[in-house]
Amino acid sequence: MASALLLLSVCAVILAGLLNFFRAPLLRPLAQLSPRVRIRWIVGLMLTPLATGAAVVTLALGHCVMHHVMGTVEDCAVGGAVECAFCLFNPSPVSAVTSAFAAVVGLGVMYRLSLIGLGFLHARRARQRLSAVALCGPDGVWHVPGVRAFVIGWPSPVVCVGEKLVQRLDPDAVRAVTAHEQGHQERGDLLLRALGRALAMTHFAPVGAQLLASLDLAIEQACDEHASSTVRDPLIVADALILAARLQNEEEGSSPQDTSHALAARIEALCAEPNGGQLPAWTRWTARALVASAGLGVLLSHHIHQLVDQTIHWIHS
Amino acid sequence: MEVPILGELETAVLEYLWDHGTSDAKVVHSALGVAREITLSTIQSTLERLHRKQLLIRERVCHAYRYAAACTRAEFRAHAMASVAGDLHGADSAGVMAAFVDLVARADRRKLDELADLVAVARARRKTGAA
Repeated sequence: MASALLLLSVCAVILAGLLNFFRAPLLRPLAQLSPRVRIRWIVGLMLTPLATGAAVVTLALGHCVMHHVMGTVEDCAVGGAVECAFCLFNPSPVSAVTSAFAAVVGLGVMYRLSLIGLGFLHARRARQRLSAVALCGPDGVWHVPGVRAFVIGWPSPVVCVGEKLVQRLDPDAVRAVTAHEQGHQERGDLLLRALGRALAMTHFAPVGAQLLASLDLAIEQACDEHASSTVRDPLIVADALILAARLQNEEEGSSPQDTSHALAARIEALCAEPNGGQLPAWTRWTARALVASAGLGVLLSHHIHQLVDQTIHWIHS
Repeated sequence: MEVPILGELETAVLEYLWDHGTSDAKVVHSALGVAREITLSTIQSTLERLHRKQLLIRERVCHAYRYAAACTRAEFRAHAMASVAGDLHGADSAGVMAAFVDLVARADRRKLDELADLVAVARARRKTGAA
């Protein structure tokens, strides 16, 4: 039991370290995939710490529950030995430390979740304020003052398009902007974005930030594709993006720092020729090697268990 | 000016005053209240609430108040959008909002010109390819 927990915990830490140090080369091949496929991969990567952590906690607490059900509580992590990282019945100093660590992490997660909940309240309030000034079009789009186009609110998101933006864009570009925002509405992207922010906090901060930025970019590019197919020309969407950015600069002033990496990436993708959208060969072989290693680990688990047990006894002796 | 959140009736009363100018409670009730089957006192309460929110000004004429909008529709809408800005940033940071152009991203003029040139080159390449 202890060896399985230790092995799983070591794997989780190695995985987190690998993601942290090699995040750029790991994420780069994903850029070749279509946005919709890329979103699934990124969400999968974001779920790995949660899945691994849940497995560790389930194994640890399951151990205690099993002893409780069998009525052998006294056998659960007897004598303070390093048997169980989260022992509920016979806590050792190690289990106290891990429980305290889990409590701190849990508090941090709850704090971040509360910030996300606050964001939902902000969205609700913004929607209430906008409803007083918006002119509702026949297609359900709200026309609001200003130059922004956005979709806001959950569970009933509403598409808002700035009147100044509509005045300055030609009709095809307005259709592209509206189609882009309606794409978010139809695909449920707002819930995915909020979920992404919740999952990002389970990674080291630089990894979480990069995964989140990649997820947001993939979501926007998926809606750019939807808008491109609506107007049948991706360059109309690109022109609309550039004009909207210029109007936003005029209205709100430009920043001394250029923070528009995502905007440039979207326009470059719209201007590029469509590719096959496959992962490079080395990533497929790496995935196969990892699956084979996991299978080998399962076959040799008994020997690995013995090796880890011997290592633990050696540390204690 | 922080624009308060208005209910449906408050919005309708404000819209009426923008469209028809200064009015008293009876006139507003006959225009809006009868169709909604609400009483004169409800309209009076709504006008009073809007006055407390500083969206209406009033003057006493004989025994009744006559109300007018404190700002024009355009001013109100501009102030409302300014009030919403903070909520939009809060919603964006939680991911419950998606903007066509990112709220906080700023591209300088030179970068935007470079991107516009990229689009022009792509358009020329497609025309050449099509030809």
